[in-house]
Formats: sequence, structure tokens, C-alpha cells
Amino acid sequence: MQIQNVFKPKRLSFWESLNAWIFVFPWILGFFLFTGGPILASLVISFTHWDIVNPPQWAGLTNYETMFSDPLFFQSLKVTTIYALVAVPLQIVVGLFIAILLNTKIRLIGLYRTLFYLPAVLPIVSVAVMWRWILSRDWGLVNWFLSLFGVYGPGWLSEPEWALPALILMSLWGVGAGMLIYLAGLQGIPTDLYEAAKVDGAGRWAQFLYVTLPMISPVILFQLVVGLIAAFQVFAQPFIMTQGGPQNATLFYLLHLFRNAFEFFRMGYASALSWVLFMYIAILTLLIFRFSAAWVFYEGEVRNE
Amino acid sequence: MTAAGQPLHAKRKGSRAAGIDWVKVLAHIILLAGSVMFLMPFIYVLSTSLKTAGDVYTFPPEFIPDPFAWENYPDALTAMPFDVFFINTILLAVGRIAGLTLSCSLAGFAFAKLRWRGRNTLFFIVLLTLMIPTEVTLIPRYILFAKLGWVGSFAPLLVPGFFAENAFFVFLFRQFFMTMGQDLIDSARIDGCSFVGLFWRIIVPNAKPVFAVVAIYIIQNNWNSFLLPMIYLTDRAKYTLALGLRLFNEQYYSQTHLLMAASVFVVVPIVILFFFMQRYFIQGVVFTGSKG
Amino acid sequence: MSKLSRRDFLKGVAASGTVAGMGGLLTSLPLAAAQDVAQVTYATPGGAVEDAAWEPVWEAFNEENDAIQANYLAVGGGYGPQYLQLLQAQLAAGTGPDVFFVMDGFTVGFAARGVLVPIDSYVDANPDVDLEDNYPGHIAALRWQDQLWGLPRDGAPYATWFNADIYDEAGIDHPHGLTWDEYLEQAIALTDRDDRGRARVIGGGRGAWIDWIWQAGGDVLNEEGTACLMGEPEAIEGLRFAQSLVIEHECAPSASDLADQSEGALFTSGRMASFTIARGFLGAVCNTPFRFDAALPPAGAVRVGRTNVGPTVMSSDTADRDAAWELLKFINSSRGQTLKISSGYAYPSRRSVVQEDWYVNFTCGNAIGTGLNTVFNDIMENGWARTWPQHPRWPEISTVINSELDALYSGDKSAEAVGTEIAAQVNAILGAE
Repeated sequence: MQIQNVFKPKRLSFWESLNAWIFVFPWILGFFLFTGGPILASLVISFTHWDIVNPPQWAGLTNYETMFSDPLFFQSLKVTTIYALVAVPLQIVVGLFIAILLNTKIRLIGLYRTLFYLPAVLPIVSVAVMWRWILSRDWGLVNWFLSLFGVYGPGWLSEPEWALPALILMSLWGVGAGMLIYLAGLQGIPTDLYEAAKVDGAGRWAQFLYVTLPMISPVILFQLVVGLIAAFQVFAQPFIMTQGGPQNATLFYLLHLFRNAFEFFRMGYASALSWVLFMYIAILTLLIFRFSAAWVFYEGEVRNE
Repeated sequence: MTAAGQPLHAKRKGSRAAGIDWVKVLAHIILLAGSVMFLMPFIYVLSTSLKTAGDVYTFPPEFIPDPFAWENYPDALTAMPFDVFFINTILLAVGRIAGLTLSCSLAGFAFAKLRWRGRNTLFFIVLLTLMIPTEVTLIPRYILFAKLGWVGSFAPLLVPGFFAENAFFVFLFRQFFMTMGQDLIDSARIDGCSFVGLFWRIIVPNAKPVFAVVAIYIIQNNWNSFLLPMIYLTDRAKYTLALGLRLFNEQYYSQTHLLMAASVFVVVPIVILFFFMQRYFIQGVVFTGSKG
Repeated sequence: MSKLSRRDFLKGVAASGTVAGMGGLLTSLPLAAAQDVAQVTYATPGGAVEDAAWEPVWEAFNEENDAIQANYLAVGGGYGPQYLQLLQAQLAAGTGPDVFFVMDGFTVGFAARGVLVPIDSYVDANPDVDLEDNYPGHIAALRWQDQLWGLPRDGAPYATWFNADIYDEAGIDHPHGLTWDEYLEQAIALTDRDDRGRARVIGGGRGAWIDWIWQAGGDVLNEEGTACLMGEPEAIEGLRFAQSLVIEHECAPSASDLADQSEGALFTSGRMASFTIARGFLGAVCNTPFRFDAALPPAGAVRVGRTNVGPTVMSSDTADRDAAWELLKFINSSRGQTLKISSGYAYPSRRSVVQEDWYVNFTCGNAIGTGLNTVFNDIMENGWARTWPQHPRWPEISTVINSELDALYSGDKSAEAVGTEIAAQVNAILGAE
């Protein structure tokens, strides 16, 4: 597993271990004081029927069994998985592409960077109407563009098969935040590596493949894992743009979970849903880490082997 | 591909005289086109902020307001004590930056660069805390803070920040620290540098970009998040900007034009801040394995 | 910019941390409250406009009640998800508001969980409540299992708002008291779509689905709330008519029209000739450049309209029920409602307020007729106003129905198929009770 790498120490230094534990101690304390309790509570609640305001009633595995007969559970799992599988790689590629462009030294670059970051700070509520217009079947910008090629575009938000792609498209306007992380990562690449590559006759594409990509791979790993976790917890976009419709085509997992928790007063079931989601993401993350050894390059790791 | 990660500024200045650098031109074209697309949401907000209440609903939207409703700005900004909200937001941002950058970077350092038993298990537990949706921990957490008597104060939003509650940042710091050359660290250790000194004198100076990114993220979050602040800060005197904006959203009488005007007022400072900060974290702080 | 040294950084961290920490501690100290004054909090989604409307209510209440201090908790954001989260977090922690607003349709869900105090005994003991002054429809919406679970802070009868400019331009009589057939005929005539089907003007709104069901003589649930009647012929007839407006005649907003703009926005932007919504919509329609008025909704086999209420309920956690009751009573009282509704937009739950001169003569913007002052009263006085079914599982039932209606209005399924499917799914929910 990737996270077990970096070095395989033969002997652990007591002093180093002690320091490490001191450094992570705030987190540990915070976990016991604030984070861990509520998480554990939600696990316990998932084995109960809880309407939020009355004492929970023990339910054993009922909530977990209920899921198998809940068609909306499977629907929301499907919607969210498709979203994650498509949107996350897209966001990574687009984000990296923009970051590389914005890492060049040309005029007005500071302005460009600011502009690309801008949509990330605008709350979705205030731009929802604009998106409705852009994605409109009859008056929309997207369909106008398609019509230049003789294509009559669909009702992006109103047709079940197009609503999810529309939300994926929308999510790309948020890559500005992820772009920052790439930019920071690109700063860490020593320029002498490029010089060396150039001496070896590498063109720009080769430099990207053999210098930039490996050097930034830990950041890509980060974006992949964090992006995946975020994708499985998307709530605001479908809530505001489609309310899960049409015909549950954008019923994201958290929308289903939210309704059960706060509208149907089934917090027990919602907790069970969240723990199933938790297992699902955790397994995916473990798999990503396990296979990351093949493509993620840590400078420190190499030097120690 | 215009610039494959290779900073174009590595090119010698003299080449400019030789003629047009087509790669730069291409970069400009792509960036310009992208900027137009990415600027659109803001233009939309700006234009709506200058429309009268009746014009807001025109569809498809017209980007140039007719007439211009300049009074939306004074109307929006005097409708609520935005100065108080602004100060509260800044206070929270400063407190959270202080707490989170310090505690998360220390934890990230331990996970990335120190050797100790239980490290990977613990790190995975840190990550796992990200995977439980807040919807189901919201109420237990609220009950906890209610029992502590912290509800109604900044404490539930500030104090956990000092305990590295944000696993996302711990992970981010770890990833960045991991890319740093190990020999840098080893040579410092050989020179008799303590671990604290190592963190302070080697890691922090070489990781300014990531600290800047984390700071920006915290500010951005603090500017936009409303669920947790809303639940804990029930007193208007403690409201943040995001909570203030929500007050323009109502069931029957949403004052969209005022909401947009206030949004511009709220977003502009963070954009200006970003504009100046980006120079700082983009500035080539290049550490190399051989720099020592 | 980059000259920030580590020492400065450390100093900044330490200083700001200290300040923030102290701030957190200081503000967490509870404010000392006067001993003999009962604190009572009222919670509602609120917002800038609504806050201002409540202001005189609290002022008057606090002036008249020396022993009770009314506090106001509002978080904005409309009836979005956060209010429900806040409310239930507070109730779970036992720190909930004493008196609060719940969204119509959620009242019974709260009552069934034992969160609310039934107020029958208070009403009986206080003849000055004058329950009969509230329109029966508004009280009915708060009754469940023979108990009264709150009092209305206002009512919300629904009527058909129309754009008089569009009607006059088309040379069509204003739509007062139409039948379904007349309504359909008008809507078709008013609809103006270009050759690509893009709407310049849409003849009328979709209306709330339940109105069509009722007007066709059907219903959603049986009286005991134990079975779903959406598969019955009357209900299917209502669904069929609603579907024909959208699919067959294209004179009501299509799915793609509604993806662009809500019915309210379609109407206020002058793209829809009429639509049915509550009196409170006046606040939005007053700003429009066109002339408008309100009319009776169309009648099918049955003439029936609908009203919502703004439920004001009492938490069973409240420390001082008598004080909470006083506040609840005041909010519902003629005086309280008059103070709150002084803007003239909302509709009072009480006949006596509706009949006050200032309200009878209220007008705004380009309102042309008297419809906005008479139609809503007609609906209430004639007993045409029904209320949404009262069922603890209603939020779940309505979610199921809305999802099936997507298929009805897209034309993917027939009215029969939708009705039958809704009945099956809702019966499953009812059976799971």
C-alpha cells in the first residue's frame, strides 16, 4: 500500500517517534474531543430508528436491510458513481491544463489567474439563474453553440438523460480552487530538471511527460482522492438546479440521505446510508492508494531506496 | 500543449527580439477564451446587481441593465450591518488560519517525514474522517457543543481549528511535504537540527506556496460556508457575511437585485486579496534536492 | 509580499490565536437575564423583509407583557433545507425555540413525534382567542387526530393571477370564474410559440397537481389516511387534464420551460398569461411593469380551491408553556396579524383583519381591479379552500408523487400509469406505518 512507503526503517528512533506523536497530538486530542464522538454516534445511530427528537430505538440491522429494498438507494448510488467517475477525471485534467497555462510567465498572468479562480468564490445560489440560461434548451448558450454545427441540443436540465451531464459540465467552472493546488505543486519542481531534460533534447511534450507529470503526481493523487470524496458528497448543485429530478436522474446520494434525515425524520436510516457510503469511499480510496505506487513519484521515496 | 509545465520564463529574454513567440500567443488566446467563460458568472452577478427588482426576471437575461439601478448598492449595504458581518468574518478567518495552518502542517509533517509506528494507520484514520457526510454528524456535534455551552459563540467554529480538525489540509500538507527531498532533511538532522527546528527552518520556508493555498482555502470557505455558522451563531451580532447574504433570500419576496449587489461587495475583497496573494505563492520558491 | 518572515508569521499566529480564543470564551458566557422575565423565542426562516415585518409585533408584545420577553430567531434562506436542520438540531439538544414556524406539510410530522404541545386546552381556556374568527380552512390545516397543533400566523389562499396586458392584447376576456374547458380554450389562444416551439407567451401555469385532482372530484388519500386514491378514475382524470395542458396543447410550461424559469419568474417576466399561487405573491408581482389582477381558479367537476397556512406551533420542550402560549396567541391575534401584515402582501388567517378597511382597499403596482381584495375572500368564505392532506409521512409521499409527475409532464407515461404507480408507491409508504 502506497501510504506505507517512503522508507522501510529497520529501527525506529524513540526520539523521532516521540516528536511525531507530539506533532499529531493536537489532531488526536481534537479527534477525541470533537470529531470522533459524533462519528461514533452516527455509527451507533445507524443501528437504531431515530426521529432526531426522541430517544433512538434499537433496530439491529434493519436499516441496512432496508437499503436492499429501496430503489432510490440504488438509483442515488448509480447517479453519484457515474458523476464521480466522469467529473473527477475531467476536473483533474482541466484543472491541470489550466494550471500549466497559468504557470507561464506572460503579460497579465496575475489577472488571468484571478479570473480563473473567480467562479470558485461565487456561491452557487447567486449564479443558478445564469446556469439555467446557459443550459436552456431554447435560449441557451450551449445549444446556440451546438446549432452552429447543425446540432439541436437537448433540454439540459429537463431531460433525464442530459441532466447529469449538465451538472458535470457545471462542476468544471469550479476547477479554479483545485488549480491553486496544482500551481503550488508546479512551484516545487526544480528548474534544473527541465534544464537537464532540455540538454537531453526533450521537447515540451516530453518535458511534460517525463518531468512535470511525475513531479506533480503526489498532487494529482491528492486531487484524485479529495475529488472523489467530494464528488460522493455533492449536494448543493442538484439541490438548487434540479431537486434530484427529472425522474430522479440527478438524485445524488446526499440528496437522498438529506431527505431521509431531515425531511422524513429517519436519521437512523440516513446514518446507515452514510456508513455504507463511507465504506464505499474508503474501499475506493484504499484501492487508489494501493495502485498509486505504480504512478505516484515521491522524491523522498526514491532517495531512500 | 503550449507549455508543458516548463516555465516559459526560463527562455532567455533575447529571444523576444527574434520575433513573435507563437507559444505565448497561443497561451494568450486560450487564456483569453477561458477567461471570458470563467468571468461570465461574475459578470452576471455584477449586471444583476444593477437591475431594478422588476428587471431581474427577464429571460433570457440581458447583460446591460436598463435602467442602471445604482441605488441597489446603498440599499443592500444599509439593509443590514454588513460592517459587523465583515469584522466577524475576518475574525473567524484569522482565527481559523492561525489554528488550522499550524496544527494541520505539524500533523502533515509528522505523516510525511517522520518515521514512527502507527503512522500509516493513523493517517488513514485522518482520511476516513473526511468520508462521513456532515449531515449525520451534524446533530451529535450540535448536542456536544450545546452541552459545552458553546452554542451562540464563535467557539464551535474556532476551537476545533486548533486541533487540526480539517483532514483535507492535513492530507494536503502531507502530500506537499512528501515531495521534498529527503536528503535536505537528512543533512539538517546530521547538522544536529531538532525536529521542531527542521520543520521551522527547512520545511516551512520551502513550502510557502502550500501555506498560501491553505490560507486562501480557509478564507474562501469562511466567506461562503453557511450551514455550520448558521447553526452555531444564532445571534445577528455574530453573523458572518455568508449568513448576511442569505437574509436577502426569502420565500415570497427574494430581493435578488439586493442579494447580487451585496454579493459583489462580499466577493470583491476576497478577489483583491487573491490577486495580491497569488504573486506570493506563485513566486518561484524552488527547492531542490541538491540545494542543501 | 513575500517578505513575511517566519518570526512575523509566528507572532501573527500567536496573537490572532489568543484574540480568537479569548473572543470565543468571552462570547460563550451566557448573558445574565433578568430573573423574573420569562424568555420566549420565536423561530422562522425570516429574512430582511420578513424581519422588518415582525419588528412591530415584538415591540408591541414586549410592551404589553412585562413578565415575558419575546426573542426572534430567523436565519434567512427561505424555506430551504437549513432551517429544518437548525430547528431539528436545536430540538434534539433540548435548546429549541419555544414557539416556531414549520413549513406547511411538516406540522403533522412534528406533532406525531411529540415535539409539539396540542393547544386545545389553552384555546378552550381563552375565549379571547376567538378561534371562529380564523377561517375554518386555516384551522383545519392544523388539526390532526382531533387535536389542534397550532394557530395560523397567516393564511395563504391560492388564486389565479393574470397578466391583463397579455389578455387585452389577445382580445380575450379576463379569466374570472372559468370552467376547465374555458380555461383550456383561453390558454391555447394565448399561447404564442415560434416555429421551434420556443415560448414567447405561455397560456397559463401548470397549477398545483393536487388542485386538478380535487377539481376532478378525486383525492390523494382516503379520509383515514390509510389508502392512496391516486389510482381512482377521478384522480386520473385530473392527471390527464394536467398532462394535456403541457403535452397535447402545449399551453402550459413544458419541462424545458420550467428548467429555464420557475412559474413565478415566467409570470413576473411577462412570459406567462396566468398562474395560480398564494396571495403572498403580491410582493413580487407589484414590481412588474404589466397590469395584473387575481381571479378565481378554474372549476372542473367541482369548484374547489386551496389554502396553505403559516403554522405557529409550541415546542413541548418549552420551559414556560404559559408564556409561550401568550406569544403564540399574540402572533395569531388580530392585532398581531395586523402589525405583521402591514405591508399588505400576506393574507391574514382571520376574517376580522381581512375586513379591515386598510386591507380591503390595499392595492399596489399596476393592479387593475378589485380581484386581489375579493377573490381570496370568496375562496375562503365559500368554503372552497381545501388544505393539503395531514399525514405524518406527507414529505415522503409528496416526494414520491413529484418524481412520478416528472414522467407525467414529460409525456413519458400516461396519466393512468402515473396514477397507478403513485398509488402503489404511496400505499407502500402507508402500509409501512
